[in-house]
Amino acid sequence: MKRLQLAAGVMLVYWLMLVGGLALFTFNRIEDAAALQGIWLGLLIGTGLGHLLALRDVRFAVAFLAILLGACWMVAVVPPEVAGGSFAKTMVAAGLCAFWSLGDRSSLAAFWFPTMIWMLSILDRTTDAVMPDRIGVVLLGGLALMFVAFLRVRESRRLQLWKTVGFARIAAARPASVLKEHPGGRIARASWSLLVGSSAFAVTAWLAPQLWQTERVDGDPIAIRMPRDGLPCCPTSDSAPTQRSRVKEYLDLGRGHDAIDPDRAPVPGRDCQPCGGGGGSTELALGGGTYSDSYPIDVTGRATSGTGSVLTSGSYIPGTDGTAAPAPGTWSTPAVSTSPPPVALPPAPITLAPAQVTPAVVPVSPPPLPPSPRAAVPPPSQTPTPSSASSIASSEPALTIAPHQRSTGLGASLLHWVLVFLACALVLQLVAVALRPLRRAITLRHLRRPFWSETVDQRISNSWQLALIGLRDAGWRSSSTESPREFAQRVQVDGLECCATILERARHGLGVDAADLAEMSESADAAYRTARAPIGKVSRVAAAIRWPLA
Amino acid sequence: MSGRVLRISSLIVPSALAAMLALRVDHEPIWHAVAPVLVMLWIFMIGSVVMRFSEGRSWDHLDVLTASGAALLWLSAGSLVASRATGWASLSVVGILGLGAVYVTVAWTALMAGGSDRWRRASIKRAVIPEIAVEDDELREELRLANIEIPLGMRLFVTGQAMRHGPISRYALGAEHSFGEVKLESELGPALRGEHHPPLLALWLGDVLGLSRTPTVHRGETMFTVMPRPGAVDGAERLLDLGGDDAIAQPAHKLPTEGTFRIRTYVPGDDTRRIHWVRSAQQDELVVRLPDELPPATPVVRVILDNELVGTDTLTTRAPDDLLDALVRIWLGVGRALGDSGTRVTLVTALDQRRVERKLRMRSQRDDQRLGARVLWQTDVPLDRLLEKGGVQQIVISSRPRRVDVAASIAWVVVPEIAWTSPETIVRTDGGLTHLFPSGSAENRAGRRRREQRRLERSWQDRNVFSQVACWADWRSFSGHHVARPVAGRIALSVIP
Repeated sequence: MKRLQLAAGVMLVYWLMLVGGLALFTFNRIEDAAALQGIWLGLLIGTGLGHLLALRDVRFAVAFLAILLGACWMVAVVPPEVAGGSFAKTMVAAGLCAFWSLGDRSSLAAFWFPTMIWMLSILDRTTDAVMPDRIGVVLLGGLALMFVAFLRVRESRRLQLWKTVGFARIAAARPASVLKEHPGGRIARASWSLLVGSSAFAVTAWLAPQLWQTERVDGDPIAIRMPRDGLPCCPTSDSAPTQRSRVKEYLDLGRGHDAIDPDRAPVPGRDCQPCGGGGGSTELALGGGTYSDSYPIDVTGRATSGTGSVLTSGSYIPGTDGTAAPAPGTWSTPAVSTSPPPVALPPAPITLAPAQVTPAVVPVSPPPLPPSPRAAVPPPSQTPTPSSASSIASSEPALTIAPHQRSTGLGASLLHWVLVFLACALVLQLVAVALRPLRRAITLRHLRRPFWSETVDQRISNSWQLALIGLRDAGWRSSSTESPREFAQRVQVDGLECCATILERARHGLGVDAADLAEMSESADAAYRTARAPIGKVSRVAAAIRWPLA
Repeated sequence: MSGRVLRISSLIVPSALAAMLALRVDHEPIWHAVAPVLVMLWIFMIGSVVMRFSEGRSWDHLDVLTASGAALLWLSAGSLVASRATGWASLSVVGILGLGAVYVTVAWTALMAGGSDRWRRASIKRAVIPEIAVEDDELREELRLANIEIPLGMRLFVTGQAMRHGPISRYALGAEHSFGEVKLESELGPALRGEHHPPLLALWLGDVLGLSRTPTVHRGETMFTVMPRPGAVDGAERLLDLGGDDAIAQPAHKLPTEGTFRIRTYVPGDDTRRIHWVRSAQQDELVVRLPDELPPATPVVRVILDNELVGTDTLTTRAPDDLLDALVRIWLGVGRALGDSGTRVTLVTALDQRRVERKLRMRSQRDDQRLGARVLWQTDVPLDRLLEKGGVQQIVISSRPRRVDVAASIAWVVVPEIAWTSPETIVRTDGGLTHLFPSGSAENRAGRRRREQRRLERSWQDRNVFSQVACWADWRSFSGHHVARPVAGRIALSVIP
């Protein structure tokens, strides 16, 4: 039980990091929540097993074997539709890292698994330039703060072990008695914590993305244009091969970014002829087009969405689920994806579903021309023919590399509300701190001149409390084993000795008259002022927001 | 490679590995953004550490990393290498976090917590309460620390050992106690006999993340005395029977001016030198004193403690101290038991390179206990010099009875080592499935376990040596003398057959 108590802080922080990270990822991929069952299961079982083994003080080799065998057994027991493909990987990694989280000198190894879980959410929020967006940067900075917090709770546990465990017998220590503290130290400590946290936040958010590497695989072809008569206008095919890239991670769950492969794009004049504008324009807008959902295309023809948009002259017409919609008044055709339907678990990007019309898309300028026979739109059911075999992606992308898409729906909404809740909690705390000086002023006023009628003994006690508050402002603290007179002799503050004498008389039931009460009040005020006289402005601010007062 | 060398080299080698990795990558942003920042942090860290080293000119100032900090650096470099190999983004993140955390904390520690000024300003008072205790009393260590500057993000660590075989006390204070005044206490447990001058406390500062530390300083001088608790001895009167001194007349040879207790009026013929002039003046008549005599019922006995033994200082086992504590306990116990029965007892032992004799006074027993607290094993005064050559009855309390070149009026009380010393700690085994200490304890580290194992083995060897030295006795030669054994918290004397 004692070992569990010692490890409770580390375990709590570790579980919060893990569950928080995976919950965030699940909210982001709420549409694929079912596919994450295996990850959740592996994380919970693996972490629990790792912590259990660590709490039983098992050696690493034994723990490694136990986690490995446990994962094998669980794979055999858990139905495949529940476990999925990542269950075993997750369980082994979670188990080892949880075991290391309570180990000696293994903090970085232990922190890798929570980092990896958080990185899933962060990488989902990267742009095609491998930089996280604003929320991703915030999450990355939060990860740095969690690292500092994790190291701190681990060190606190190590400290407790150091104070109680050793080859030689360790003397049982009593709690420390604080006789005096430095006024204003709390503000300095809070400022330092803020500085350290924000530094870690900023440095990590700035540096870490620079080290990320992308992996590239062939993506799904995207529909571009139908062929025309004669030397075809560029492009010559109705689809262009894309290349999909993403930042690599241990779990194969990251979403990718699609880009048209410039090496396999048709060369004007050789493979196609540039056609004039209007409806006959078939120029491949490798550098000029944009996704209508505001994802830009860079000069290399990189697109950032793979949801089946159609590339037209100067604009993409977005489709849904791999289909393209004919824009009214344009010759853009609904395109059908040629890629095989994705089998993978999260997200199912491109399907062979029939075309859907998205009405409000691209306004065409100049006004639409009558459709040319050359630009006849084949029936939607027709499968586009690639001009060459190489123009079609030959390799199937990794099953789990679904194209990047913005978080929408319940996941984003939940994240938004969580952030709002946290902001509200922070504001409430700030308001509570801001109200403390008022609370203090009212309390001091009551201690000096009670708002309601009180007994003489109570007023004596109030005056003593007033003196104690002033002394506490200056850093002096009394202990429970110290009598008021001993305390007065120790601190040597004007008026306090008199206060202690009268207080002890009142406590022992000796008669206290009005003169004593007046003297007590006067002495307490004097002690309050004398004690606070040497303290600086920062200490006064710290005293104003301190609670409890004495 | 010693731990210190490994820790100091950890400041450079893992960072060099990370730098080599950064140089080899072809991704431009890494070189332009990450590497310069890490290099700047590293230069900042090394600069601050070297600055402290140049102040102190001691390798301690370079040994700023804790074992956890060194491990974190190596793991960070390993993470960066692994991230290069696997491409996993999370590995690069933890690598940067680890390197950055160590660089910043080491630089902070060197800049803010280095130097010796803070220790000069600090007030460290240490006391063991009660300062004069009796064996087996509960002791308490009390520290009062004032005006110690503990920088933000640091902790003050204090450790010490008040008694040689006593427990280790360990304390830690956070930065909230900086420039304050704090009282720290710990229970030391039963007091062990002796005049203790404990080694100074070791103090150092470490960061709250456990990655770096400052050199150790030593402060906090104190001393305390633990007096022996005399044991209740059963059968002490048999020691006198053995000597047969009640049958021997003890003529008192006194000078004419000696004798105080018996006086009478002067009669003609008395030696005028025996006139007690003070009493005569008081009584206004001549009074003479009579010579004292020793009645046979109140013999004089010298109880001698044999504390001569070679080489105990170098032994790591606690058995010699246990045995000496028992000898002192029995020595005082026998003396008191004889004194209670009317015998005039003189306690004799060797102390501070000379023979010490002290008459046992029943009304000032604490003085005898203080004498007992100061007794140590020694080689300067052999047992022969403690013995009286005359016909005085002598009782020798010894763990090693041996032939001595004096008259036969010696009674030996043999204190067998095996009966009065506690067994050594059992040598631990490391072959189990579990650790000996909770996971995360530094004591589970292989190096420390090996050191502890070696220490225990050496302790056992020393114990064997000591047993060979202390146990050797030709028991047949001491037939008829006595052996002392502990029985239910008392000391039982039985005759050696």
